[in-house]
Amino acid sequence: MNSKMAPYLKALAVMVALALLPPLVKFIAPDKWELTAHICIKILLNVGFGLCLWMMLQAGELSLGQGGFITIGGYTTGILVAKYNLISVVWLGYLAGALAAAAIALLLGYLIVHLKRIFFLLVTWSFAEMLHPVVTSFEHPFGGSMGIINIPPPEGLTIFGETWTGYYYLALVYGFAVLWIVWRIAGSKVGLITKSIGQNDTLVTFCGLYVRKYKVMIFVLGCFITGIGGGIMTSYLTAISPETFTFFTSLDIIMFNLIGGMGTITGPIVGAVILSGLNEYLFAAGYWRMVVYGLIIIFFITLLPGGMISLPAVLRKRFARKTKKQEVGLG
Amino acid sequence: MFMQMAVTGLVLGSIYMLVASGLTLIYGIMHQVNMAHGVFFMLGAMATYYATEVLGLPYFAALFAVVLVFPIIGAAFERGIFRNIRHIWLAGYMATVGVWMLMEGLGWQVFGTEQKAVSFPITGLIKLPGGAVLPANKLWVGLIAIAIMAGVYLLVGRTSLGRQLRAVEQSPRAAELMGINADRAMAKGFALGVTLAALAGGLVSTLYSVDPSCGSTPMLKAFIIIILGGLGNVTGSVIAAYILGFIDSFGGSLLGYHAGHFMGFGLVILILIFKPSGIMGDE
Repeated sequence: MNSKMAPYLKALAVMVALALLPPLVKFIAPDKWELTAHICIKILLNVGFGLCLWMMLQAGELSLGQGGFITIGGYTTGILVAKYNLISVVWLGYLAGALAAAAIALLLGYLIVHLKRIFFLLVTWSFAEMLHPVVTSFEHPFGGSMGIINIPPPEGLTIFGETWTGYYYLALVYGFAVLWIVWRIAGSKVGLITKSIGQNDTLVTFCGLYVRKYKVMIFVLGCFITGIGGGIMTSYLTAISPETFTFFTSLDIIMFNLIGGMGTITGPIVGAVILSGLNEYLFAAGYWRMVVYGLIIIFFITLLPGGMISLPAVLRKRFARKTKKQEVGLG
Repeated sequence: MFMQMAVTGLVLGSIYMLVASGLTLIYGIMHQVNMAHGVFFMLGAMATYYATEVLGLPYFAALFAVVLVFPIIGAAFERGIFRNIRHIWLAGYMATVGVWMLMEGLGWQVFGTEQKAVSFPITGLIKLPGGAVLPANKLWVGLIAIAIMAGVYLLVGRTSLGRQLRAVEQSPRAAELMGINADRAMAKGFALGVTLAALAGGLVSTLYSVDPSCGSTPMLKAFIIIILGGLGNVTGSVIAAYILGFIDSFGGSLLGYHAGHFMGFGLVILILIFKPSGIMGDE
């Protein structure tokens, strides 16, 4: 009981600590709070996206179309809430965005579930690329190349003072809610089945389980959660255009998993924190940003394929070998 | 007008064919999706620019220099980065993405942001039967691309190197049992594919102005083509290149750029869903 609860308690402690961050920063350095909040919001939303992809990765397939599902969530929220005022409650706009992303994921997932590995990656990528000309070409309802502007914050967000403080708490709740959901699913029967599909789907079929059902289920759930995040991100940015979420958004989400490591649930969190932080820092660096990105990818692929979470084990191994050699040398 | 668009489609298709056949060769031989292909296209265009406009070499000498230099560059990348991680498909894919980012970022730093153009030695307009008028350089570029492709067919179909490549494509292990060094054959295949991309870049630099991101669009088109033609199938990708050339030429002029883009990717999704082996696949 105690050891089972321990990781949850740890996560809860981190969440409480993060919830106490705004008053603390405001007390120490009030002028730094807006920037800090901005970076934290990006990181927390990205943690959610990274965890969704990690959940899908457990089933063995890599989606390069997550930016597309963020776009769907964001555009649905924007169209319903800001452009046509069809929904007056922004919270319902988020839900609608998530439902739209999930519906499209259901259709796409049903059609492409038989594809594996590189084919799955290429088809999800093509899907995300296809959205770009669609939203750019149609003035109604997508707003053409200008996109949609003046997307309002959700109701009741100002109870914490400034909007960014409100968004900070919203992103905090989102990030940890996704963590909780993904964590619970990973430990559940569905999660175990998904993991075995990722390891050997033929064997799972022989066990009498319908592999495609689980794969589509995980894909749709991941896209639903990503869609909510897309809505929150869009209303935080107050605008969305075809250039807001691109191929590089999808790539970033893969890189969270790559940098952090795909082995455990901690991986995408670590990766999202490192890379989103770096992203905000490198924003002004121009083309050097691409160079740094390329070097990071090549470094992790070739030298640290297990990601940051494997670093302690790798170092320990190195260290242990060294001490052994020394002992031999001494003897 | 119809003839004009048809000839433009043929020229476009010939250029796409060069980029895509390199990409599909690399996939067929190494089972690696090369996201860095556009970067080699860009480097080929830049090499041609610097050789002709800065060093003052004749255009065709510059193309020849590309043929001499790029196999070495390609083999170096294969040996340095891709060989060790080839067996993990995701690592191989992401490594090529890393090379793409790194080289394009360095390209912006080294070559600068201004647009560069190379002048083609043959100028003037050529009148074709059917009322189409085409700039001479466009027509010649198309013809050179077809000639290069014929050379590739001879290389792969008739030489000992080609037999090695085809053997490794069928089964690396069986090829090694026959005394072929599969690793070296893969390096050669990668070098060949990269050289084709660089040559295409050298040819395109005479038609459009180029900058360090000029490789992205041809690479996207090449991905559409190799999926339509079936991954690893060179003949399939040649046919698909002309199909996409016509789609871009007709769809682009009649419906607009975005419609052509949409149709290309829509076709990819349909092919992948209903016939993943491509238009020339057996199953």
